[in-house]
Amino acid sequence: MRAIIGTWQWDTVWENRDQFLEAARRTIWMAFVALLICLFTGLGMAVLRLSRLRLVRGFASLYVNFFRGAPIIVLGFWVYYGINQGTYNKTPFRAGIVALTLMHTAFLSEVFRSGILAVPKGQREAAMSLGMGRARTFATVVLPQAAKVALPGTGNDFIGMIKDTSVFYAIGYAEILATTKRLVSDTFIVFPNYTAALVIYVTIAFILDFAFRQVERRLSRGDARGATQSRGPAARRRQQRIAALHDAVRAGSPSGSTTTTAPLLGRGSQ
Amino acid sequence: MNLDAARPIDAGPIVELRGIRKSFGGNEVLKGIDLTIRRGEHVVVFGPSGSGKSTLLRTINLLERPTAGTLTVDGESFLPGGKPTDLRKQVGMVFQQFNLFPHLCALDNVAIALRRVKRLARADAEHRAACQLERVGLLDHLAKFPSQLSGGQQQRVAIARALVMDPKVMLFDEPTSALDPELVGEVLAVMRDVAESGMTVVVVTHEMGFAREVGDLNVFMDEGVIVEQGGREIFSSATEERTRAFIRAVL
Repeated sequence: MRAIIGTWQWDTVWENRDQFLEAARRTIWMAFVALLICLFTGLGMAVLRLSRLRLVRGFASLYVNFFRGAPIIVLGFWVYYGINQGTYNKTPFRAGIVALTLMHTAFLSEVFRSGILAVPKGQREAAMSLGMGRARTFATVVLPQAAKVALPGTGNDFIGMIKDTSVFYAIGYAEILATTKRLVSDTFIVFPNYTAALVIYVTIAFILDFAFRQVERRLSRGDARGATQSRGPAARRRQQRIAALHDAVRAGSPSGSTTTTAPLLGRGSQ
Repeated sequence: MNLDAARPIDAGPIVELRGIRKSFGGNEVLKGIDLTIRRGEHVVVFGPSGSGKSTLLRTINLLERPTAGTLTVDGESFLPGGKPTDLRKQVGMVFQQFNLFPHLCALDNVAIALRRVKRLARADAEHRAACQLERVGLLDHLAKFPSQLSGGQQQRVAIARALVMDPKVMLFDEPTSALDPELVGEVLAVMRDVAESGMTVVVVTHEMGFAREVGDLNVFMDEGVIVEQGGREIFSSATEERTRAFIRAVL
C-alpha cells in the first residue's frame, strides 16, 4: 500500500501548489462576484415576493420556483451554449456568473424574505408613527434587523455557490476541479490530487464560516445575549462622543430645570 | 398632583373624528365614532377589552385606516385626503410593547427620526435627543441598547422618542399594560409630566387612578361605540348603567 500511494505522489501535489492556488482564486472570485450581484437581485426578488400586488408576487414566485428547481450544470450549459451565441456570455467566467446569479437569486431571495418576515410588525408601526414613509422604514428599521436574521442563511448559500462553481469545469472554466482533472491526466496521480481538491474546498468553507460569524457578531449589537459592545477605534470615538454629550446636557440644565421628572426619577431608577 | 380638577378647556378642537367605522373582515369593531379633542385636553379612553379603544386610538394617526368617516387634525383634513406621513409627523405614539428599535442604543432610538424625517444634522439631533432623554430621567443610559434597559426605562425611551418630534398630540396605547407592577409608577410619572406641560394627550389605559387624576375628558367605550363621555364626575356618577358597572368592576 505504502508503495502504491508513495510519498513522492504527495510531493508532486505540493510542487503544483501554485496551480491549485490559482484555481482556488478563480473559484472564490467567481462565487464572490456572483454573491455581490445576488445580494441586490436576491433582496429585490424578496421585496417583489412580498409585494402587495398579486401579479408581482406571482412573477417572483414563478422565478424562484423555476431557478430553484434547475440543476446548476444544466443552467451552465443553457447559458454558455444556449443563450450565448456570441453575446455577453462568451467567456466561461461570464456564463458561470450569469448561471450562478440566476439560481442563487432564487435561493437568497427566500433567505432574505424570511429575514424580513422575522421583523415584528410593531417595528414598522413605530417607524411609521414617527413619520417615516415605507421606503425609509424599510431601510432604517426593517433591513438592519432582517440582515441579522438572514446572515447565517446567506453564509450557507455562499458556501453552496463556491461548491456550485465546480460544475463550470464542464464549460471550460479553469477552477479547482478543472485544474485537478488536468493535473491528474498529466501525471496519472489520482488520489492525492483529488484529495488536494477536496481539502481546498473544505478549507474555503471553514474560512467563510469563520468570516460570517465575525460579521454576525458585529450585527448582534444590542442582543440580550452577550450584549456585545463593539470595541475598536470607531466604537471608542462613539463612546467619547456620547460621554461628551452626557456632560454637556447635564451642565446645560441644572437639576430639575423645567420638569418634575428629572429630580423625581434621576439616577435613582436604575 | 395639583391639576385643577376638570379645568374647563376653552381652546379650539385639535382632533376631530366624525362617523368613524372600521371593520376587519365581517367584524365591525368601530361603529360610528364621533369625538372632538380640544387643544391641551387630556383624554382617557377606557372600557372592556375588545371594545375598540385601541383601534380608535390607532385611527388618529391612521395606523388603522377606517372604512368610513372623517379625520381632521389641527384644521387639516386627513380623511378624506391628506398624506398619512404628514399626519404622523404631528402625532406622537407610544405603544404597549414599547417597540423600541433593538439595533439602536437609547440615544439613536430617539435621534433617528430627527435625522431621517426632520433631516437634522447628527450633532443637533443627538443633542436634542439627549435633552429629551434627560427629561424622562435617562441621561445616564444614552449608550444602552433596549435589551439592557428595564421595561419602565424602555417605555420612557419610547416616550422620549415620540416627544422629541415635537408633536401636537400624544397617543398612549395601554403604555403600562406590559410592565411589571413596580415599574408602572415611573412611566405614569413621566406621562403626568407630559400632560402638565400642556400637551394634548389621548391615553387608552386600565390605570383608573391615573385616569381620575389626569383625565379632563373620559370616554367609556363598549362594543365599538362611545357609551358615555364626560369630565371627572363620570367616575362617581355615570349616567349609563354599563359605565357604572365597568367602573365598579375595576375600581
